[in-house]
Amino acid sequence: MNGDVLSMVLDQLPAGSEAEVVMTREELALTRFANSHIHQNVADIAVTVRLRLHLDGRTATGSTTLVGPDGLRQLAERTVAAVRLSPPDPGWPGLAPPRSCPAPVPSTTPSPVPRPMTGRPSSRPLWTVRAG
Amino acid sequence: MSEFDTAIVAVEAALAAGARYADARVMHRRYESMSARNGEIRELMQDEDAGLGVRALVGSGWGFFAVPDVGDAAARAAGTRAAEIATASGRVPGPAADLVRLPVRSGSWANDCAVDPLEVPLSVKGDLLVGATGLAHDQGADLAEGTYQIWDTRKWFASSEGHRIDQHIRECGGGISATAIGEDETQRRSYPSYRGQYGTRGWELVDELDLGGHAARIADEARALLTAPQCPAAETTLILGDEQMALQIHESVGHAIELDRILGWEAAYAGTSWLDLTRLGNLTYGSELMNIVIDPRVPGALGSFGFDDEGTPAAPRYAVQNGQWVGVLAGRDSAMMAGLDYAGSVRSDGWARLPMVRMTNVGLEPGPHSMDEMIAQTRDGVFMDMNRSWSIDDRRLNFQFGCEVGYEVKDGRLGRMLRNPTYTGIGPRFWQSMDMLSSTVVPWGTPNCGKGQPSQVGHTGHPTPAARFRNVRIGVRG
Repeated sequence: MNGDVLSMVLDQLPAGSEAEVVMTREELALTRFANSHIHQNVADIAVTVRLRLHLDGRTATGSTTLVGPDGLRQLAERTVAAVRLSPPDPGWPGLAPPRSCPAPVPSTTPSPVPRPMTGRPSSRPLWTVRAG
Repeated sequence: MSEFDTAIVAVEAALAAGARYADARVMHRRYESMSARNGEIRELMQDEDAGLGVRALVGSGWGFFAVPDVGDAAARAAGTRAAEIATASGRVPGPAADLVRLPVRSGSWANDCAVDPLEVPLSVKGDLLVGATGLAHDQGADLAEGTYQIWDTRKWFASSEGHRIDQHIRECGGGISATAIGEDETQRRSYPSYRGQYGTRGWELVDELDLGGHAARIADEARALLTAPQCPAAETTLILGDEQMALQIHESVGHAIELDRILGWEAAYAGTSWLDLTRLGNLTYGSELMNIVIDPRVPGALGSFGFDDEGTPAAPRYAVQNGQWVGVLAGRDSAMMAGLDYAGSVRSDGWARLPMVRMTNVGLEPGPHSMDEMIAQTRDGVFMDMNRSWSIDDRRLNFQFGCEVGYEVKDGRLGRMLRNPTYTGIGPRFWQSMDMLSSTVVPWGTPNCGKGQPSQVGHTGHPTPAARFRNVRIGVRG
């Protein structure tokens, strides 16, 4: 699924593009107390695809939470339109070449609670891909 | 499945999971902004988001859950989860929660928009900012900056009481600024206001601003400020331009009359209010010239809508009438808790955020005077305009504000330009000193009002005239 999303974005980009696509899934839960009672108790899930596109030394970014084919196609289209309007950076060195990513080391510290009710416990990019 | 179907599925799932009331919003929002500096585009952002937010009331406990997926299964699960969270809230219960009565509504609303701002070519919008900032830079501004922002929001609201409301709100605006860098300090002049002017209108709003036509003037004024005399420290007569009045109203009236702050619900972050509900209807907020109106119907103003995010139709209400405090910004639950019979000021920053009490358009009604009359009738004072800094305590009582520019007023005439003008006051004392009020109102928009946890950014409007205040401390340092 995640790889499909990234491919659907990258396939829309013109030849010669360099691009960074980050897909993020966040879960937030927050409980607020006021006057010694819970007056607000909220949670949400957010999935965001962010595209940073480099073309001919120009850079533009865009994002969407619409991860279907139409939403991703529109993200690519408007970011391509934006990059053509952006000023060129004569010093743009290009993206660093791809490198292998070491496997994450499992944490040895147990989570204090199985399901946190405050803060932003889960926020991590799932994939970062270079295209073109 | 339509957006209404999605919302209804979520509401029904919440009811099935034990909620005695539930509502749901499907929202789709597109955002675009561009900035330029010294005649070059600096940044262009284009974002899009869509999702579903569900609110459920179980007993006296509220729950809220939001998902970016608007499919049937996700909507059903979201409604169930909202009710589960509400049930959990009831483990630490507060006073009995209920909602003020609201007739069931079905309807659609959209603001007037002559030129769809998202349909204006990027090249046209870019040329505008490049041209205006280039002109200001050529005129001597060390830093000439310009920006515009566009929001296009569609929302579909359904409640367990039967509400079915959809709205399409298009907002945009922009502005430019010129910064001059001197030996020891920098000075800035902005047009048409700090961060620009915004409204519920189409691109015609930006066209009417004529940003390029004001670029050279603000560059000249920024440079002139570098050598202007410092605003003196004194207690004197103060005339505030309408742009600074918008900030004055926003900070020292708008936030103070938010009922959730008055009830203590926002004490953890945004703060509380100096206002005590037992004094509603029996407290002098300002002079008899002070008439503050909450009105989400003002055409083109940034805080306008057809219905708030609880389905309450837009309606005007006095917050301060002839100087007396008579009304608040309220939601259905906070109003019921306060013993009031009206709501209508609840909005959320997108589908993923809980609707909360928010300013709509909070404005000051015009008076009988002109700006020329206010200056002509001032023997010794200072005129200040265009907000530069703001600081106010968490009860919205003691404040100190700075402006971009000031001018001496001597014997009924504007005199020398003054740099770093500031003034300070205590809310009700300050407003009670207002003795002249212009008859010309400008509907200033504030697109960056922060409040709530998780953080939400609200859009508010402040239609206001210029005004004169007596015996105000100015030139405060530190």
